[in-house]
Amino acid sequence: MQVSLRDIRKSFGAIEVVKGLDLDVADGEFLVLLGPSGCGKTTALRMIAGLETASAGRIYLGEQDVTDVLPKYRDIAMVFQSYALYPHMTVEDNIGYPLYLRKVDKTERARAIREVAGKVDLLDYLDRYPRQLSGGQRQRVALARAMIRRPSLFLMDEPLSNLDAKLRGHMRTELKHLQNELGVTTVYVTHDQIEAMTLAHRVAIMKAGELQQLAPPREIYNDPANLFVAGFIGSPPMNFMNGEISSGAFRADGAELTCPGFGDHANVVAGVRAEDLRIVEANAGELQGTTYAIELTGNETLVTCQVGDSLVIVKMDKDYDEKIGTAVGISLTNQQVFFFDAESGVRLRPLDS
Amino acid sequence: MSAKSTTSSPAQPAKSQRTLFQRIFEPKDIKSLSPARLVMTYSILIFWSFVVLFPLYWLLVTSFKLPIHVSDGPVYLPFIDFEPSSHAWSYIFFDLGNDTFRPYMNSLIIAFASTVLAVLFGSMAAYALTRITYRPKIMSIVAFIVILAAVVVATIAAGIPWQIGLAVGAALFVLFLLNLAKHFKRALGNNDILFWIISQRILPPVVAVLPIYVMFQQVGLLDTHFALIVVYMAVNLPIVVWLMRDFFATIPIDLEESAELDGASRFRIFLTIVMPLAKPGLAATFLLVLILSWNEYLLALFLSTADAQTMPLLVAAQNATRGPQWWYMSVLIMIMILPVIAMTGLLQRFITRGLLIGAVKG
Ligand SMILES: Nc1ncnc2c1ncn2[C@@H]1O[C@H](COP(=O)(O)OP(=O)(O)OP(=O)(O)O)[C@@H](O)[C@H]1O
Ligand SMILES: [Mg+2]
Repeated sequence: MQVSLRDIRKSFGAIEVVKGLDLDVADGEFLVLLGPSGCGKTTALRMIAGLETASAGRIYLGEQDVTDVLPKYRDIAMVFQSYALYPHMTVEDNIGYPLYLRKVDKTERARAIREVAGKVDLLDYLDRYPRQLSGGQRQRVALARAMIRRPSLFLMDEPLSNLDAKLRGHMRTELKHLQNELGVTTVYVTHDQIEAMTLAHRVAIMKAGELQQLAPPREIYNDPANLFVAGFIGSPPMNFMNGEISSGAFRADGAELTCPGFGDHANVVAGVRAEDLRIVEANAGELQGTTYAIELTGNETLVTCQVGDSLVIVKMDKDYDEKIGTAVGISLTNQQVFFFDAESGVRLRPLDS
Repeated sequence: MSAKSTTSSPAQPAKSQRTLFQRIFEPKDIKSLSPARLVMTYSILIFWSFVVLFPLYWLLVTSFKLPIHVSDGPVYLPFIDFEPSSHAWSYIFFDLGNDTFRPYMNSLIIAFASTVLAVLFGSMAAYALTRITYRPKIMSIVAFIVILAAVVVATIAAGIPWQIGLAVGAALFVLFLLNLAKHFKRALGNNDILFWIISQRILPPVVAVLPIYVMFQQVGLLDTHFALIVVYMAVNLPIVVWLMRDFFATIPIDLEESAELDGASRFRIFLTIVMPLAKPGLAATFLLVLILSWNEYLLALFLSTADAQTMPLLVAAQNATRGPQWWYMSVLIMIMILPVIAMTGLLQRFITRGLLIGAVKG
């Protein structure tokens, strides 16, 4: 089902935590709300669910305006960060609870429970209580309970954040597969960019209650709308240098990058990703600096260089080694450089485009 | 001593890390104690058991004593100190007969009925106070009272039956409420309501016993089960609300929100999620309130004379003109504690099992 938010606002007392959110989620889409802690993701999700009333704005599910509809009439299933499993019920009763509420008869309910339990690999655990399960199993119970009644919308609030790294990776894959199979529209909240990039059809990046960019993961990565998005997405984070653009070139301490088509601008931040840079000999390349730290991460080496007064990280292959303090040059392997206005953070684009 | 303890302190970091509070209230496993401390622990426990159980034992033996055994000074051991006799038991069960059983049944009916009602309504009130935010506007409460009084007086003066006046007053109130509430900001919150409920118990119920007596006299309900059940329920409600509110507050709100999204009504959430999780609290509260009602004397003294007389009155009645009849009292007390012991046994497993919550964090 299609979901639309129209200028949704939420204030707690005098503090506005969601500041006019406009969002359209297509039918069957997996939309991820991504943003740093405290930016209002959970609040936005809870407003869609109806657990929190919006201070202003309208929410539509399909054609229907549900802004003032009680949660139980919205046909939404939510997976909570804490899973919210009922401690006094077995796995079977937990999963079957939504059907029990709908007075589905016992045999039909048992059949449906076995079907979804099979999907999430829980058939052997139906008699257990939540406290007897591992974190990953609890998470799957929560998923199964959300899936069993085929809601028109799934909401998930950091459902993987309580799992260890390995399990998280595994559950991510499972989640993506299940969502694809069921085709249920999903809004997923996380502050983990890997989760956002791997799961989402589209990512909505929020900061302090405002939407920064709404685009497919690849576009978010390759074409960030502003300084915040550029710095938030990518690991290691994008390298930033302060400088100015004049007569078709960006200049900063130890750096000179040509940027044809850009108008003159006094206060500019240039951003380059580590993988778009290579270490070359001193005095060659667009940037000049000295090596500052060298970290082997496994299949690659992160070389941090001091360029002017900023630190620039370069991704080299795993065999690269160099003494710290050596003067090096850094060259761009392709022309992936982003320019932003230093004050507003707005992306600067070539004049002719 | 100081030298010794300083040198040995690195060897027992665990002990010093435990606060005094922990050392007292979270003792170590009894099996890991050294023999000397084990003996000491058991001596203390046995001594305390003796202190606790001896009065019960004394009751038991007294119920088998003849008056002469009591008045001649203390004797403790049946068959050795004195020859046990069942005269008191047969007096209570056969000579008094129905005069014993009727108060006994009265006590059972009144205590259980009032406890069930108090726990039921009290926990609903407590739940509402933890989960729903109330903002009754002070002005609308005042308006309600004024309008209601005015309408009732006016209608009585005009000769219209007071029931109609009441209905009109209530209807007018609803209309006024909506308008008035918009204009006056001062409101009562949940905590004010809670405090008001608790404040009903700041003074003992005794202070209200005469008005209560007169009220029941007016409606002709003196000496009925109904009167005592209603009064006990009202008197115990604040205790239930106060205790249960804390239990409900520990239940994660996520569980209820999740159930709400799954399509459960508020009442169903209360019945299928909240109540099962609050079982230990319910059991403990039930037991406490039951014991309070079961032992209640003063209100029963005023509100019942014969038909609804309860056990505490019967026990007290044994302290009659001939002086205290210790042997009869002992028998009555023995049979009086049985239901309480039975309920404790039944409910204990809920109480000791503790809250299930907390075990379900990811
Ligand atoms: N019930 C509330 N009352 C007052 N302030 C609240 C309430 N709920 C949330 N807030 C505030 O709203 C802001 C956004 O909270 P929210 O929970 O939506 O953040 P979030 O993006 O989900 O963060 P996280 O990633 O840490 O979960 C926070 O500053 C928080 O303090
Ligand atoms: Mg959150």
